[in-house]
Amino acid sequence: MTDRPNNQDGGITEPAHPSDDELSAYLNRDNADLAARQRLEAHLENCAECRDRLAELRTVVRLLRGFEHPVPKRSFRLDPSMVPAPLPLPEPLRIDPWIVRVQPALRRLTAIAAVLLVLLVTADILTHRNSSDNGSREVSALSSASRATDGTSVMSAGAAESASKSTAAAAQVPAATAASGGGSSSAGSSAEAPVTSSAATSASSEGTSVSGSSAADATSNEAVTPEASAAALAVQQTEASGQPTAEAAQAPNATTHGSRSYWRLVELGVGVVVIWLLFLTIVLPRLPRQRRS
Amino acid sequence: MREPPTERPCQPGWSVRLGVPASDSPKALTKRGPIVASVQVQPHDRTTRGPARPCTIRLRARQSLLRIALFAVKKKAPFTVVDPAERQLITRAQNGELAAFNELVERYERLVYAVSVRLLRDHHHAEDVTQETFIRAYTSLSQFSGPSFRAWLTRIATNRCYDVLRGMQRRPAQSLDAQLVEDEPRWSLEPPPDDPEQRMLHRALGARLEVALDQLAEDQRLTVLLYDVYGYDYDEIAQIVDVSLGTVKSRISRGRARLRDLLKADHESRELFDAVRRHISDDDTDGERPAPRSWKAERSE
Repeated sequence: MTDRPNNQDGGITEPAHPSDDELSAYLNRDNADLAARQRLEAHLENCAECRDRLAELRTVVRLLRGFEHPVPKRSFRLDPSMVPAPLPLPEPLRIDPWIVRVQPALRRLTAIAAVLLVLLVTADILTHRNSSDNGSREVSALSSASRATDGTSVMSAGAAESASKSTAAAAQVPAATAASGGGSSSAGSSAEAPVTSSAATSASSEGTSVSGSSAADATSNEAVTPEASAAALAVQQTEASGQPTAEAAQAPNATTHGSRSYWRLVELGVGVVVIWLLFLTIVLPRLPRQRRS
Repeated sequence: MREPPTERPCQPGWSVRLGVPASDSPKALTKRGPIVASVQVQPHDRTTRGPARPCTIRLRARQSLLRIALFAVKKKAPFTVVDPAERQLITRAQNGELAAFNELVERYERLVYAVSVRLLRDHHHAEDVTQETFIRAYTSLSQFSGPSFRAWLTRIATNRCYDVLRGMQRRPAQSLDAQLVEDEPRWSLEPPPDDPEQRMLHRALGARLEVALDQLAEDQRLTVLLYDVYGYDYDEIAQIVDVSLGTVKSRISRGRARLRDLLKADHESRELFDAVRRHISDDDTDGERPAPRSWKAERSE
């Protein structure tokens, strides 16, 4: 509102007059904010000169709005002969028609292949979980058996030392041993020194079953824990079947690996098919549009 | 009785929620009154530019519902409220439906023709330009991305008019008023005064105003014509002339001031101007401009 110089009267400065821009904006109801509009209205109340200027601008606007325009004498509606054939949306033209035609079938095929893949993987997991359980059991049995064998040799050495050192402990055990197996030797009774009473009982039963075996065998049988004894039993069984231990462990693993690689091959094949179908279904129809843009 | 808010689409990704009686009757919408509308602008997603959250604007206005929304929204973000029916017609026409496009032609042929006549001062050329405008619009309708269809049409028409004027190598000096035959139908944004004497005064001063308009710079002239004579919005003019909103406002204001000065230049015009000014009493109907969609209604008169 600094369009015109202020009238100075007796040192009192009147508020500045609004510019033509402000008056025009006021006519358009386009003032930036309500406060500015109210300030302008307050000024107009007191300033006859600005009221006149506003009235002049308003007159111009009203005259312009009153301009008369001729009504066209004819219609400008289009008829088909005036315009070229309507341009269809460009996308269908750009895409190869066969892609469009096979899209529904492709989508179905993709879904079927994806389901097949899921089923295959599930079946693979279910099938090989059982076989891998068996395999792991065999492997653990083998490892525990070897551990048990090492352990017994160490333990038997320790037992020999302790037997030579303490005779009191050895003196307690022979009573039980003598009660169960009278044919056991003094080396056997001395080897039983570190074994607990329950172990002694089991050992005694083992000793009974293998009564004809050597003292070293008896020692190894007596020194193992219950699970190790089961492992040893498994080893004995495989030995009894007349096959070497290494071969017995490897044979089932080889068959498992063979079937697994077959499964993997099938899964990979189906996976590749699914990826290709997805590519055909999703990516291919969009390629022309990207190229165009 | 207040009805639940109605939602109207504006630009893609936005909608305007109008908390006013959902009545479209002109009488209800132009009724003088206190606060009549609260407009809520709701972005459809967060990626669209504009106000970060819905804003409710209460305003005093006696304009049409859509113009209220437009005014309110304009204060916060560059929106144009689009008539949903028109949007539907455009979509159908974009799909190659000629009948839908012809409905759009019916809506806007009078306006496009009027602008063309005003610029060319020749009915035959204006008819040709109008027809060409609609043919061009139809063939390149896929390029229309909004927001205002009539602004898009007018841009095509004005460009074509300037091409024709360049081809004619001269600017026609004949007054448009002289070409209007008395008994032919006419239309205007505002009806002439009822008083025959005032009507005569208005017409005489209007003729002088026509002459004054020709003395304006071309960009000012076109902007004033579009805003005051044909009732376009700032946004639409910015779209047609391809300038900023600030430039549009400035051109309108300076154009009006120049017209006033020209009308007051000679003694006879000044007396005429003062007589008309005295008649146009102080009222507050300045901001009330005809709604953009009122053209068809006027057609049927």
